[in-house]
Amino acid sequence: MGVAAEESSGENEHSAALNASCRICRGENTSDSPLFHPCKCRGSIKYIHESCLLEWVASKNVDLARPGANIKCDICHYSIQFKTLYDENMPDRIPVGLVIRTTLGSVFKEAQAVIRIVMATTLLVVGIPLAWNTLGKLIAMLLFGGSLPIQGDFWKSLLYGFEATVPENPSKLNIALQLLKNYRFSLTQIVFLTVIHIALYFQYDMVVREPIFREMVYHNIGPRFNGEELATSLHNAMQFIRANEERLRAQRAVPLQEDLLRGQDLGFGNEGIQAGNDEHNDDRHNSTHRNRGSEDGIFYNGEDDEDDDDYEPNEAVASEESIASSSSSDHEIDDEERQQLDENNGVFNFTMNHGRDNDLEFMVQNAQQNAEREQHEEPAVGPGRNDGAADPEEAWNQERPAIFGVQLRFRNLPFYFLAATAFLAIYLYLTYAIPTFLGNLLLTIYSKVFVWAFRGFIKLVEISRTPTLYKELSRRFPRISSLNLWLNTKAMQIFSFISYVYTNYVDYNNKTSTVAQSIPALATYSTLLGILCASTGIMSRGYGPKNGMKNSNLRFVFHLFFAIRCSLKVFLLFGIELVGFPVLAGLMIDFSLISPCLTSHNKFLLIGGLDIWSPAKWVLYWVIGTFYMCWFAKYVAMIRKYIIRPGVLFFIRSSDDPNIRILHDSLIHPMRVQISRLLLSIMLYALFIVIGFGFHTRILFPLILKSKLLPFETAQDELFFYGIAAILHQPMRITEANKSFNLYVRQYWTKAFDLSCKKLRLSSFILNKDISTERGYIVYRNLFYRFFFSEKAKWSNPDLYVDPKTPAQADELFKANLEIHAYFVPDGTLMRVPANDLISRNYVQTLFVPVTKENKLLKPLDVESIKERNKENAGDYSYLDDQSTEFDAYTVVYTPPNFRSRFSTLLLLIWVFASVLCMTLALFFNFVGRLMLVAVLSPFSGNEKARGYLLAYRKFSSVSLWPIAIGAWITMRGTELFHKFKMTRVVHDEYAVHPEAGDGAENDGGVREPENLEPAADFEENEEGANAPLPQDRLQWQGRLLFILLGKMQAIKYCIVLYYNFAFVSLFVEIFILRIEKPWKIDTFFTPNSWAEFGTVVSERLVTFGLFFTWFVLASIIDARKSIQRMLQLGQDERLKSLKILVIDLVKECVLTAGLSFALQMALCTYEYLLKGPPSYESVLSAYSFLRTVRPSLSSSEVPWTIPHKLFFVIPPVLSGTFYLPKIFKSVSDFIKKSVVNTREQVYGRGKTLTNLPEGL
Amino acid sequence: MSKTAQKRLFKELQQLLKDSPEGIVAGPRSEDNLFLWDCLISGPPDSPYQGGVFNATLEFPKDYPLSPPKLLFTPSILHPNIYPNGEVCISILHSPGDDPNMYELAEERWSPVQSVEKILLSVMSMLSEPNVESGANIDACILWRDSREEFEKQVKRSILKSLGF
Repeated sequence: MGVAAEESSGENEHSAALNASCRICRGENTSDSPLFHPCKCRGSIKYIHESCLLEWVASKNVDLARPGANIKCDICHYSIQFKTLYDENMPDRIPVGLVIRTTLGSVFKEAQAVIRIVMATTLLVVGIPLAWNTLGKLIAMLLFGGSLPIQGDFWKSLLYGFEATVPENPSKLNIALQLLKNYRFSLTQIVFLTVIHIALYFQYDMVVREPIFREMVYHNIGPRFNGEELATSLHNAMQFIRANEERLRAQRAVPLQEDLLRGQDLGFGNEGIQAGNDEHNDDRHNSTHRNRGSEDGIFYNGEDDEDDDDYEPNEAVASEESIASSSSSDHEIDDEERQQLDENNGVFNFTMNHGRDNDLEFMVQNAQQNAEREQHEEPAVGPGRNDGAADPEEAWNQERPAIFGVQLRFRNLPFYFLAATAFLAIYLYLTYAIPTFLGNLLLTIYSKVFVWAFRGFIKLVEISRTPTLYKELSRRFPRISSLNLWLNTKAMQIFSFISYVYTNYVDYNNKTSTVAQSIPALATYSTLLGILCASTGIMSRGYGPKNGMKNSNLRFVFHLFFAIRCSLKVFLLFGIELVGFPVLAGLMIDFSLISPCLTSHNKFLLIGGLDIWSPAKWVLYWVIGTFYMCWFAKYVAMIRKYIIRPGVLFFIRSSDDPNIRILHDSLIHPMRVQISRLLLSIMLYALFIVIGFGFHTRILFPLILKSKLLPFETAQDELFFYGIAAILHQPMRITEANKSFNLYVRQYWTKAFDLSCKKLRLSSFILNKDISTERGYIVYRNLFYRFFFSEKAKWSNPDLYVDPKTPAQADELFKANLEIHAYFVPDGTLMRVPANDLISRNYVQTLFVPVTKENKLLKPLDVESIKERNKENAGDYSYLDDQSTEFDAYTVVYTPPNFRSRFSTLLLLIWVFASVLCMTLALFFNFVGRLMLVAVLSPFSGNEKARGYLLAYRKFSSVSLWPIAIGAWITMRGTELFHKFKMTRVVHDEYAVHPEAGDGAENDGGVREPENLEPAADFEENEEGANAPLPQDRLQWQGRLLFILLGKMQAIKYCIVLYYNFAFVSLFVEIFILRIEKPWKIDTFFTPNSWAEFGTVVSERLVTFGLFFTWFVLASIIDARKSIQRMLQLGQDERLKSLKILVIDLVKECVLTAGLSFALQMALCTYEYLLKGPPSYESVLSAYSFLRTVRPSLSSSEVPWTIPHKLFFVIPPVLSGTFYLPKIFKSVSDFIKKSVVNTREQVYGRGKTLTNLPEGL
Repeated sequence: MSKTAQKRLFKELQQLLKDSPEGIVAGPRSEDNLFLWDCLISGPPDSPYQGGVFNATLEFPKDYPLSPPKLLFTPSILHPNIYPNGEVCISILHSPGDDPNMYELAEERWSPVQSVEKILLSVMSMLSEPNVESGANIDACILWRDSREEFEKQVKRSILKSLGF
């Protein structure tokens, strides 16, 4: 630095004018700190000190040491350059050895880091599961009597375990495959267990945190103290607080006092209630609870006031903060503390559930501890606030390398691995070995008990003389004996299965089955949990809110057990809802839709029968089911939002319901109610899926219509899975993106509902449209008028609806007046129904009662029985269940007679409408898709494969998956575009009429989606401001297009150009350099039938190619990312410019390598074709394809290598060589230059300094 | 840090004393605290503020010139870009990190290159040309935009009041 500084200051002396000063500190040019002019700025702000610049940069949080850090001048935006200062005795030419050494050193360093990371991840990802597997096998061997499954070969037993088939002399491949199998098995287990553990833990946590849980505990075991004790302790607390308050009044602000006073008031009220708490009814109880809640407030304040006494007076700010946080319960307190506060909260809510010294002294102690801790932590917040900003950073900087060092030090890795293995061993021993051991015992006991019970039962049957009764009966009714025979055979089958399993179990024969192996452990677990659950009931017997449990240890145990029981319940319910339901729905969909559509209506399940790994099947079912449920929920939401009256679907909870408290509900409602609710929804789903879809796919099409439409044509087997993916994924996204298609679908549904409701006279109930003609029916003179001349009959009565009649009146009038053939007879009733979907459950029970026009009940409500029913549904904890009744409201609507049957008919009609919609859409999509595919494919009819597809798709009468998917996409896209076009037209017209286009469009009604208004808004903007910016929409659109283009370009580059070049280069190498007789062609890699070979042929060439291919993919991803990042940094114009450059580069590359060689090769083929003529080749193209695909696999003895043949394979490598070699050379020389510079900086670098900008610039 | 700031403030003061721009007087309130300045700004001609003399305080942070100073009119004056509490809202007084309104260009904001002189000049130009786009006093903005005469009248009145008439 010193040398350079002198040098540069000398440089500056003449250029810096006399009054030159630094633009930041206004200091002058001194020899210690010379002035520089590093940017284009002129005048008084030309010069700057290096230290000032660095300070300014540092204040902007830019780290200069980071590579790529760039400083720009604030004013002229010229990026400021630094130059490295070198040692004085640096040689002019850096020795080559030094360069190599430093380069290798840095490369080695990076390689080491990479190896470390790779090793750590391998140990973690591969090692742990394999260790798990081995340990599990060892334990299993121990449990099965310590004998090796494969006699005399420990390692083989360890590898194969209790596998049914073990090869005699396993090859390397066999071993690798077996390891892979073990790995997969263990990984599944680990993932499954981890998920379960995490889920259970979170469930437990959530349950314990849930306020209702504490109330339930209170309900079960009551308070620890009775009323009097509590009153005295409260009294003490009051006094304490009052004393504190006195002290505080002198120093504290008014709001706090108010807080305290409020708390005090409540506290006194509470005392009163406590005293008079002899009688106990629901409401009173709730109110005491609430008061208890407010007590917390008091105690918090008490605590924190206590804190303040310990504080220094000058830290009033901090203590005020803590007061604020305590009055709003728990904000801004760090976790640990909060936990403790929470605990206290729980403690005081129910007077110590956690049970330990819960008197006031403890509280005070606790508070003091808190205070002390806070004081320890104080420096970070309080007086040292200024240092605080710097401190964590420093700590972080010191810590970070340490963390990495600990994690990735080479030698430590095996130790960590060993520690993990030891942990796994202990874990497995505790959770698998011991439970299995115990479970075997338990199972023996259970089976013995079962056998005894069974024997007793048989004895009972004999004693009761049932056999003689049976003999007598069967003599009289011979059919009974046949039934008995059938039952007997069934029972024998079941019995033999059970005995088979049992004997297998006893004889250790079921070692291969994972399920069988886990049965003993499961038995232990379920027994344990059963005991645990039952024990909570037993423990809480005799205790209650009035009679609290006193023993704190017992309370603690109960609390723990009860928490486990509740979390199990919640876990079970959540599991059923989140996993069981979707899987079941997926199974049903497979049964009723996928299997009959894709295979045959005789086949039961498609995915279940596939030959794939079984967990994958379940996951697939789960995914399918989840998607179906999502779709169904979306449909229901659509109907609810746009079509039907709010309140019709009150039984399907909507997401904005205040009464949705899933955890709360699952905790509080008895299991019986919950299971029945779940069963009901499963039934509904089953009905919708199995009948809704299955009727068409399994009965209507194949059996009634005998149609050939189903199953779909599946000529494209290899695309099957993509098809499923497309079904699941694409429509979801596409329908999301294409709102207008949804719009049309919604319109269809509105019409469908209107029509069916009108026919069923349900408009008032379903749609909230009070149509007077629906309020009754028309009686006709006779059937003739009713069915053939109904219109005429209606016209014959001028006041048909105005003057309604009763049936008897109508009868008489028909007789009296021969002119009139129809009368209107009103019937049905008015009914109270829910007015929205958010009403509480209990309120529903009081609805659906008939009322008069004046909204008076026709018969009084049976309030008692309703209450009884509510209570029964809510279970033991009903009084804890406070539902929000904010939205409880009803409306009065008209309901026709036979309401239930009408409603069911409506459902049926909706189903018919749905079927019509789905089938029409499917057929239409199929047609459009086929049309499109044929149009796209017909130019390629020369290609054999394409011709095959073309022929398949040309059959417009058959249906298959791909055309449907493509057709759906095209149709949706089309409607969207059409809609947009229409909207812009409308907006334009409206704008022309009156300027408030945006408002006008908005007032047009809810039909239009908000995003359709965007064009209007843009339009307005453009009109208003002369220099309005580009509409956001268009900018986004441009950006998206750009990236799509970029992505496509990369794809073209890597898939076609490099592929073409690489294919021929590798062929060239294999044919002419390695002289391999039948070279392996890359082309085959991309055709599916060669994938089968992939598993069997593990040749070195394949590995090489695989590596190369991975490199391809990685390189393309990195390249694409880089260019996209670069693009993102650029402005709009530059972006287009650089895109142009990229395109030009790409085109150059394409044309000069693949294009040119293809052209030359074609020329060669033409020459060849002209030379040899039709007998050898049919056309030029066939010559090309012969040379390209057949020639390489023929030996020279079969077809001699002629010069054109050789040239054919030489041209591409030569061309790509001439194109790529300079580039490679350039990158190599760049690398060398860079490493020379690096070496120079590393070895001789002595810091950096600013550079002056030459005056001319 | 504080030493640099002091040095720089002293230099700026010297500069201002040597040749201060027309209509501006500025200097530290007391000799031992260079970080609090009092300024007198005369209303620019051909503006509603013509004829007025306005008092303002400049409060410099300890890390000046890395952070901008704070300018406060005491008492506050009616102006679209001056908060009712007298704080001035112009881009030159905002450090590059924080942008309250999101539409100031980076080069318009504070940089160590700026100086007290430049700040006061910008304030003067602000007085003659309010920027309603980024208003600080909404009422003043509306008044200025919708009824200029009323705005000028109110300003005049307050000027007269401040001058003791």
